[in-house]
Amino acid sequence: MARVFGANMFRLRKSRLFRWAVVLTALATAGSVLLGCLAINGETSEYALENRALSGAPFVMIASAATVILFLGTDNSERTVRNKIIIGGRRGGIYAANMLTGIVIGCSITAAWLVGGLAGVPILGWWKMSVSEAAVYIASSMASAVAVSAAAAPVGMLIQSRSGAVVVGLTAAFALLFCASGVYTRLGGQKEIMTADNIDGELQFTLTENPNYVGGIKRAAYELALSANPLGSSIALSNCDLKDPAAGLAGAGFMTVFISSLGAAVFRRKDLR
Amino acid sequence: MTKLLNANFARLWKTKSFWVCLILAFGVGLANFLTSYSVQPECAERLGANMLSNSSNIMFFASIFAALFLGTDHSDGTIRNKLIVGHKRHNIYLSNLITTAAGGLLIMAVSWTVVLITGLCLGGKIGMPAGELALKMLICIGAIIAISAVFTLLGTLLSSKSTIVAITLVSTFVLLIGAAVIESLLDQPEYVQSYEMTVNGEVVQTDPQPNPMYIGGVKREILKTVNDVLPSGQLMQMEMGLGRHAELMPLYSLGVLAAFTVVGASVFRKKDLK
Repeated sequence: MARVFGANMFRLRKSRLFRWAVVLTALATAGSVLLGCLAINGETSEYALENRALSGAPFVMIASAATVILFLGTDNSERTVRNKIIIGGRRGGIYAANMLTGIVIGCSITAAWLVGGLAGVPILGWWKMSVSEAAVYIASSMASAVAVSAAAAPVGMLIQSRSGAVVVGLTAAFALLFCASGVYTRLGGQKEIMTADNIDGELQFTLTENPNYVGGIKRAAYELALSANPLGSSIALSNCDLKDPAAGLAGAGFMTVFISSLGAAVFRRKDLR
Repeated sequence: MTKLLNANFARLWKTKSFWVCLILAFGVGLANFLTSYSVQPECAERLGANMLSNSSNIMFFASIFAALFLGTDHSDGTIRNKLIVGHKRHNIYLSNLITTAAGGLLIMAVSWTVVLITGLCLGGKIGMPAGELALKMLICIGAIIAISAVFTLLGTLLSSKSTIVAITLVSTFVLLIGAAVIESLLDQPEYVQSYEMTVNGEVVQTDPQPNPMYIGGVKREILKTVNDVLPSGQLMQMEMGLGRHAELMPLYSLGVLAAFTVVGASVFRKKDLK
């Protein structure tokens, strides 16, 4: 596995796709942060850099997934997987090496995104959240990147056609993103809401139960679904609203292990033509 | 060019991705309508609006089809074969554009037809004047043709099939999300209601306050124009039942079509086809 991983890293260093993905992510983030800063009306000290910098989290995860699928898909399309097996590489080792390579790609693109977000420092200053909070957000971003890369790796390795793998991977990523966004919105409602009634010309405010509030077992199920979704945390990150980072980290870790085990099991039996 | 078009259309009917996208457009259109009907049966009284409500899905399926269809030309080396037998580069480009647009329009037609027929079977009505429906359908047709010009540029100028697919899908996603974000920014009211508590503890309504999220002036006009020009913006407006400058949108689509076709064909003429 070490030799396959070393070969992958060698190919990654020379990969134009990877370099472009990292550079474009950093530039796009910097551009969007600067445009956001220019659009500010009034006092800039009221705004936090992290709100602008983290807003692109879902798109960065999708870009990571696309890059991982394109990079690992080359093994299938160029038939180098068979060469690796012929020279004695075990399928499990090849899968693990490719998955680790995918994780390196995902983390590199995420790091480029975080660095690109610093373009707003001269205008808005450094992140306003505490160091420990910032560390939690950065760790959650990396965990999300690892989960997304682990989910993208089997798509690139199991689908023979590279373009087909891209279609399936990106369509699945968009679908997961929309699901995560929908669940996040449903969970965002308050338990009680303030309603105003005009009684004899006077406004009377009363606290009433929000009919749209999701509670009980349904809420627990939605929260589990959001944690299990590789793109789930990216929605909370983009809103700077990580309510339960531990659950997010645990969910990302579980999905990484689960999807990798499943992918490796299928890859071991796959007919490599 | 007739021979190129015949060849492209013959390939189109045999392309798996085209039929998959057609079936998906059919399925998603039907599912969306039936879901709306189950929640709100009166939506069958507005079949015209329901037909147009799948526009963003249509654009997504059209992008998948266009990317896979055009990418095959490069990956299988058939572009060089077309040049070898004597076809001119601009004819190849235009035939690709026409085929891509035709595929997108067929996908849209299937989506519209399934909603219309299902709605009519459930006793529904169009729910809008014929002239208004005709104009909105023309806008959607123009937008699909314009976005096909964008897909054709990407599909003809990029050499790797998988890169074409990745860039086309991501561009589609960015265009659709961008259009939705612009509409949500333009949707902000200029003033918001505010309340204050008097000394006696009573809450009274005060004069409406300016909304800090409201975008006005030149910025607003720019955003409106951008969303009117972008094919995704036009489709999003049709989906949401808007249409600020509906009469101008087909002209904008024509402009986008002309611009991307001229640029794409010019660059393709000089491209080194390895």
